Amino acid sequence: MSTLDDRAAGGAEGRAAAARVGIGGPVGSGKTALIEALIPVLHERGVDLAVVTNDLVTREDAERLRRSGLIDPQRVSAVEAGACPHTVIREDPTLNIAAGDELEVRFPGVELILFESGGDNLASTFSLDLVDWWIFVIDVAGGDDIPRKKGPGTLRCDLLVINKQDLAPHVGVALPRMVEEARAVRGQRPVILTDARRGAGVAEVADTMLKAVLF
Amino acid sequence: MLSLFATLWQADSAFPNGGFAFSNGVEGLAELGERLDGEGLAGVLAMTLTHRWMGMDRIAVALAFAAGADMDRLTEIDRRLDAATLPAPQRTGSRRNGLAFLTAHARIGTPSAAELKRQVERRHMPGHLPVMQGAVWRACGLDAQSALAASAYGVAAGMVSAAVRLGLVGAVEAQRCLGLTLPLLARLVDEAGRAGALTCDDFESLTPMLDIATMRHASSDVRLFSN
Ligand SMILES: Nc1nc2c(ncn2[C@@H]2O[C@H](COP(=O)(O)OP(=O)(O)OP(=O)(O)O)[C@@H](O)[C@H]2O)c(=O)[nH]1
Ligand SMILES: [Mg+2]
Repeated sequence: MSTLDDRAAGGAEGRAAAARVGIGGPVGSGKTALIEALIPVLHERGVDLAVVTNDLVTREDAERLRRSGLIDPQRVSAVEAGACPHTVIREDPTLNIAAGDELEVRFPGVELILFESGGDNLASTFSLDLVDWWIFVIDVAGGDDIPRKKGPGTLRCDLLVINKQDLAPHVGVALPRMVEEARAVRGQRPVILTDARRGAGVAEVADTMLKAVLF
Repeated sequence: MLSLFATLWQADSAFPNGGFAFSNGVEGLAELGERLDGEGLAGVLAMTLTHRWMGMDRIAVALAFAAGADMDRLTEIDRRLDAATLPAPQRTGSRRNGLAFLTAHARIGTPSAAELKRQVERRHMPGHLPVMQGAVWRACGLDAQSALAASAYGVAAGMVSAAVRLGLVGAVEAQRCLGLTLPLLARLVDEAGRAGALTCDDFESLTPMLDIATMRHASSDVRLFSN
């Protein structure tokens, strides 16, 4: 049975379901900051958008996005999944899938749903039941050896974002080498450097994502 | 034999149904300082199964199983179970769990799951887990008694798993505790079979400690589980 048929059956009937994109990565790497930076860019590109957050023990990220003024608070869903960030995006993504389906019912025109994973470690990966495409966000301050550690998250994601590039001089990281190593371990699949707080690289992330899932 | 395999399939904790996010009161009890070592946990399981599952889930599963794909009847059972479930976090948890369960079955293509999911998403039904289980498990090929067994086992196994993740008992000790509970599970399912047909008027539960713990848990700032 085709996934799209079922999604349409789960959401509003008679139209294509929204594209679903996962954003995962270690605690504090800048997943929420990246989403905050992406929202205006995606709106500018005319994308009808909603967000699902997976907060671990609180609703902090959902509340932060709702209060940001960047997006209609109704378009932010919080999936409270207890302290199991791996499980809720991989072994059992049904709570997240249901949250996405529910957003599609409430906002029939929605084209793109972003799923922010709870902060996790380098082994976290998204189930393809849940998302069509996913980003893994690491940050410069975590050390330039992260790509060399070849975690499944860094290796298997569709796009690797290396965030907090502005911090490189302060933590003694040679950026060009870090990016080169990341590309090498990923078989030359996309790697983008960002500064989510100031917006550098964010348009490139948006374009790469939209090209992959919408256009 | 097919019914047995269908039961194993549906009782497997690896089947994705959202259940991992709910402790159904275990975390609340721990916060209240309840002693939840192996022995304490066994006591909580016995109480929950005897005084809640037996008067609530078991009736809902049996009635929904009998209703099959009759949406009007399922809606009635579901609404009555909703009205009979006192603690709000228990209601919300059971509904979220029920919708996640339907989500997996709708994707798999289990007959009537997609239609049930549509009803729940349009808020025609609350979507409580035991009601969804009764209806969907019949479509999966479980027999009525196995559906009761899978429901009771799921409640016990879910609470035990929550206790392990909360660090209250060790993973092995937890399974010993679950093993010791099997005779009770068997007795309750047998009793349910002998009691015959019940109605929505028979819904009842008497687990004040668990209910209070569940309600207090909802307002605690840091928690590992949704309820
Ligand atoms: N200097 C700098 N700080 C950043 C950047 N991106 C995020 N931060 C900061 O890093 C901290 C964590 O950012 P979040 O966006 O909350 O990270 P997260 O990955 O969503 O965190 P969790 O959801 O808790 O796992 C915040 O203090 C951000 O302001 C960046 O590009 N540069
Ligand atoms: Mg975050």
